[in-house]
Amino acid sequence: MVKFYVRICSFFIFITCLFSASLSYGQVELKGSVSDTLGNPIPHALVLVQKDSSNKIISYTQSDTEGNFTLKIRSTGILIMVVNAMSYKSKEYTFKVAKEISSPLIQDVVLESEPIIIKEINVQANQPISLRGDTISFNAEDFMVGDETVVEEFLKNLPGVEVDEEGVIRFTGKEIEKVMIDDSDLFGKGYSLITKNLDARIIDKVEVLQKYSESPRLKGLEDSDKVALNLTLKEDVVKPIFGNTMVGVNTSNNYEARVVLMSLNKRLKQYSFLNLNKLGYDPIGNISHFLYSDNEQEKRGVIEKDVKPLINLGEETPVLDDRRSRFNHSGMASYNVIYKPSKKFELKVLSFAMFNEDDFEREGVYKYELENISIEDTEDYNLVNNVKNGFARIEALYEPAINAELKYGGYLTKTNGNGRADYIFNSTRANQYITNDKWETSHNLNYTLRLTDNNALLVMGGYQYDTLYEQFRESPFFPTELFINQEQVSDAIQENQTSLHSLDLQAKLINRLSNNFIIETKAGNIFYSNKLDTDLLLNRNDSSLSYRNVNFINSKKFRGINTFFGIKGRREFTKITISAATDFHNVLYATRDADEDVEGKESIQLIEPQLGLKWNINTKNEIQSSYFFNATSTSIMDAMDNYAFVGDRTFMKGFGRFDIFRGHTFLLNYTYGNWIDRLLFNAVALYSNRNEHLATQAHITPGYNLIGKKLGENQDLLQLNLTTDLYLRSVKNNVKVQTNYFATSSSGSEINNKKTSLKSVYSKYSIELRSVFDFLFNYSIGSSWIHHQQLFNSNIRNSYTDQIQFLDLYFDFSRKIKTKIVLERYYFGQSEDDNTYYYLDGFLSYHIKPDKWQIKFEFRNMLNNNQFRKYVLTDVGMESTLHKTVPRYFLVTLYYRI
Amino acid sequence: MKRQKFFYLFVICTFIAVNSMAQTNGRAIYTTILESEDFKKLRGELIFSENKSLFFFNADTIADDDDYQSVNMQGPSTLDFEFSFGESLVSYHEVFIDKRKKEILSSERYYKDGKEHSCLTIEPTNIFVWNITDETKEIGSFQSTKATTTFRGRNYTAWFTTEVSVSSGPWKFHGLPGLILEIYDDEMGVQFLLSSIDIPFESTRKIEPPNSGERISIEEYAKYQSKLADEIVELIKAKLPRGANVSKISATQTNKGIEREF
Repeated sequence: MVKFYVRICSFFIFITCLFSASLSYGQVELKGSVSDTLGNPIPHALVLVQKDSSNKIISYTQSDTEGNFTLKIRSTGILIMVVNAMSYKSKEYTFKVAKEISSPLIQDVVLESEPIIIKEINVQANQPISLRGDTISFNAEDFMVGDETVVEEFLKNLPGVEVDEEGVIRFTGKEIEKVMIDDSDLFGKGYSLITKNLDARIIDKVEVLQKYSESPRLKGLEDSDKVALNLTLKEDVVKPIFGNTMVGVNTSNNYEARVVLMSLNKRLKQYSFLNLNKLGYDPIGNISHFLYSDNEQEKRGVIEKDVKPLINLGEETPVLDDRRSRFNHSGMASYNVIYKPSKKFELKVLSFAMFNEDDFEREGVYKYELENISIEDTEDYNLVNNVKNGFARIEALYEPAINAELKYGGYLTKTNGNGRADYIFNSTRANQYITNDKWETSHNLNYTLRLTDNNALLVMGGYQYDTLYEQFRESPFFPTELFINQEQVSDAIQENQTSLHSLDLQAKLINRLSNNFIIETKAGNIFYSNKLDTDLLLNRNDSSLSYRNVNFINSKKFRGINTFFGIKGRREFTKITISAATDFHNVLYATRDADEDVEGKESIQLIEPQLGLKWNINTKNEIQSSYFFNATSTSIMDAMDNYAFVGDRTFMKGFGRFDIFRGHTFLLNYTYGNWIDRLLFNAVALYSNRNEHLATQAHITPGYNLIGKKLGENQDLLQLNLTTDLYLRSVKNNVKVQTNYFATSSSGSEINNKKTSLKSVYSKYSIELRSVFDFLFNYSIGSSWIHHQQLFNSNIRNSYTDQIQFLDLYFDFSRKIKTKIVLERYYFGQSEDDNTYYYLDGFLSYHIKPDKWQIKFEFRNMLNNNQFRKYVLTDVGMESTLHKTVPRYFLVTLYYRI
Repeated sequence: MKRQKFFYLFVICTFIAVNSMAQTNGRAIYTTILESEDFKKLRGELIFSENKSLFFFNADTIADDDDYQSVNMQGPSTLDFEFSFGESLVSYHEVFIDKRKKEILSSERYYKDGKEHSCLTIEPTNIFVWNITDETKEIGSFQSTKATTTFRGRNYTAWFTTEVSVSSGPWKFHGLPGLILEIYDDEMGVQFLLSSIDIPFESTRKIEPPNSGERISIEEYAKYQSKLADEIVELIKAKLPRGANVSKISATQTNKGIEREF
C-alpha cells in the first residue's frame, strides 16, 4: 500500500517537474540541502540569491524540515547565494548563470555553528505619526425619514444626537461647539441659523468631530472634550449657486416660505437665508448663541456681566410644541460670508435682520393661599409682542506664521421690542404697553502663540458695552393704596435705564510637562462699570401733572475690578484622568447712589478650587466626577434700595448692596455601555449647596405685591437623572426608561413677615417602546408622568401629576411615499373637571422627483382642540391658566431644490 | 542487536541536541501604533525561534510617551462615531506562527447575537506575497532592505534585515529572508517599529499557541466580522429618539482594524 502511494507520488512529482521545466525555460533551479558540521539537517535556514552587482535579493526560500531547499532563478550573470541560519555562520557562494543552462544547479551547504548574540536596544524608528481614519461613516440619506425638511429635523434622527427647542444640539449629552459645512465654520455657536434653514436633502454625510480643537495652534495642549459637526454636501449640489426653497399654505391662510441660497468656492463662501412664516416656526433660535464664538466665551471673572430686563410681560409659552401653541408672524433675512484671500487671512461676516410678532392669549385664575389671607384673582389676558432685531458680527483671523494667530471678533446688535397687552383683571379692563431698546457691542482680540511643541501663550483682550432702555405703562394703575393721596392716579409709567462697560485683559500659559501632564496658568484683570436708573411716574387723570415718590426711584452705580490668577493641572493615566484647578480672585468694588459723592471702596478675596476625575474602568464602565467651590455675584438689580414697578400690581427691589455667594457643587456621572450596546445605562447626580443666597422677602396684599430680596441662609439643589435603554432583540423592540428628579430647597424667605422655608420637587418618569421592523410598519409608544410638589415649612402645599402619552405609527409605502400618524394625550392633574386633551396629526410626504421636488401634506390637530387648561405652582400659590392652541388645519407644502 | 539499540539511542540524542540548538530564542520589541487603538504607542513583543514565533502586546507597558509628537497641526483629523467593541486589542490579541505546521493561530474576538466571543483563528502561512526592492536603509546598526505587500485592505512597506536570519516579524507578518524591523501601511494606521532586540533571549513565556476559545477558520471569522455592521445598524435603529423613523441604514465599515477586508 505504502509502496503504491510512493509510486503515485513520484509519478506526480515527475509530471510536475516536466511541466515546470517546460514552463520555466530560461529559469535556473537551484537545489541543495543545509546541514551542520555533523551532517544534521538545518531546517528553516534562509537561502537567498543576490545579484553580484547590486546586492538586490532576487529570490529566496527556506530549507524544509529535512534541510532541503529549491530555488528558482530568473536572472542570469554572476549571482551570490547566501545561506543564513540562526546560531550558524553565514555562508556565501558565487556562481554564474548562463542563458542556456536549464538543468538544476546543486549546491549542498554545511554551516558552522556560531553562537549569535545581538543586543540592540533603543533602535529609534522615526516615522511621522499622521492621524487619519473614520470608523463607521453614516450616509445622510440612510437617516432621512422622508418628512424632514431642514437639517435640524434630520439631525434629530441621528443616534446620539439631541436637538432641544432652542436648536441647541447635543451629541451623547454633550453640547456641540459648531456645525461646519464642508469643513468651513461660519456661524460658530450660532449654528442654528444653518440647522434651522438648510435643506436636509443636500447633505451627503454628517461627521462628528470628537476631541475637536478650536485652534490648531493649541493641538495637544488643550483638554479638548469638544465635539463639532461637519456636514459635507452632495457633490452634485456644489454648483456656482445652489440652495433650496419651499412654500406651504394651510387652510387657515397661514403660510411658511423659505429660501436658502449658497455659493461656495475656496476663496469666498456665501450663505443667504430668508424665512417668513405664520406657522409657529422660529428660524433663528436663541440669539445669544451668535454673540460670542470660540474662546471668547470662556468665563473670565466672578462678576455677573449680563444686562437683563426688569420687566417681562406674560409671554410664557405653554408645555406644548411651538407648532401646536404658537400664534406668530415671523420673518428673517440673513447674509453671511467667509472670505479667505490667502492662507494667512480669513474674514467672516454674519448678519441678519428679523421681526417677530407673537400673540399670547390666556385666561387665568390665580389663588394665593397664605395663612391669614386668601386671594383669588381672575384675568383675561391678551398680549401682542413685537420684536425687531438687527445683528452683525465680524471675525478676522490672521496667521502670520504656522505657530501664531491673531483673531478679532466683534458684534453689534440692536433689539427693539414693543408689546401691548389688553386684559380684564377682576372685571376691570386694563392695558399694558412696553417698549424696550437694547444695544450691545463687544470687541475681542486674541493672540495665540505656540512657543514650542510643549508651550503656548494666549493673550486675550476685550471690551463690551451694553445698554438697555425700558418703558412700561399700565393703565389703570391698581395699587394706588400704596401712595398717600394718590387715589386719582390713572396710569403709571416705569422707566429703566441700564448700562454696562467692561474691559478685560488676560494672559494664559499652557505647558506640557510630559505627554500626559499639562499645566495652565492664567492671570488677568477685568474692569466693570455698571449703572441702573429706575423711575416711576404716576399720572393723575384730573390734571396733566405727574407725581414721583422717592421710595420708587433708584439710581445705582457700581464699579469693580476683578484681578485674578489661576493654575490648572491635568494628568492623564492609562485609565484615569485627574484635573485640579484653583483660581484666586480679588474683587475691589464700590456701589453708590447717584447723589452720593463719596465712593466707599470694599474688597473681597476668594479662592475657587475645582477637582475633576475621569475613570474609564473598562470599555463598558465609565465614571466622571467633579467638585467645585465656586462664586457667583449679585447683579446691579439686586443692589436696588427702592422699588421698581414690574407690572401686575407687583413691585420689586434688591437688598441694597453687592455681594458674592459661595457654593459647593458636586457632580457624578456613571455610564454603562454605549449607545450601540444592547444595554445602555446612564446615571447623573448633581448636588449643590450654598450657605448664603438671595431669598425673597414678600409682602402680599389683595391690592399689590412688594417683593424684596434678603440674605437667606441655606439653599440646596439635588438633581438625579437615570436613563436605561434595553434592546430586545427577539422582538425587535427597544425599551427606554427615564427618571428625572429635581429638588430645590431654601430657607430664609419671608412672606408677609413670616419666615418660610420652601421646597419644590419635580420628578418625571417615562417609558418608551420603539419597534425596529424591517417592513412597512413601525410604531413608537410612550408615556410620562410628571409630578410636582411644593412644600412650605415642610407642609405639603400642592401636589399634582401631569401625564403625557403618545403613539406614533409609521407606514412607509415606498422610498417615495411615507406616512405618519401621531396621537398625543395630555392630562393636567389636580383639577375638578376632566382635564384630558387629545391631539391627532397625520403626515404624508411624497417625493415627486427625488432630490428635486417634494410635496408634503399635514393634517394637524384633527380633533380640533382649541384650548387646554394648565395648573402651575408658584412660590406663593397656584395659577390655573387656559391657553389657546392652534385649531385644526390642513397644510400643503412644496419643496424645490435649486 | 545491542549495537543497534545503541545506535538508535545515539540518533535520538543527536536529534535532541539539534533540536535544542535550534531553540535559540530571540525577542524583538516593537513600538506599535494602531489606528484601532487610538494611535497610542503600544509595546508589541515578538519572541521567536527558527520555526515558530509568538507576538503579543505587553498590556501594562504602554510605550514611554515622552518623545511623542503630535505632528498634525492642520486642524481636526479624526472624525467618527466612536465604536469600541469590547476590550482593547492589547488585552487579548496574540499571534502564533508555526512554520512546521504552516499555520497561523490568532486569538480574536467576534460579535455574535449581541455577545462577544473569544476564538482562535486558523490560516495558512503563505498569505503574504512580498515584493523585495533594492532600496536599503540602516535601522540601528542593521542594514535593512525594503519590501512591499498588500494585505487585507492595507498597503504595507516593510524593512527587514538578513543579519537576523529568521523569517519572522511582528503580528502575522513574516516570510521575508530575515527579520522584519519596521512595517507600516501607507495610511500610517498600522505601524510596527523595532525598538529593541535580544538574541539569545530567555523568555518566561513559552512560544506556544494561545489557548483562548474555539478554533475557527479565518473565513468563518471574516463572516462574523461582516455581520457586525448589520448588528450595529439594528442596535442604532432601536435607540433612535421619538419621531425618527428610518427605513434603511447602511453602515459602511471602513474599519480601523489591522485587517479591513477578508
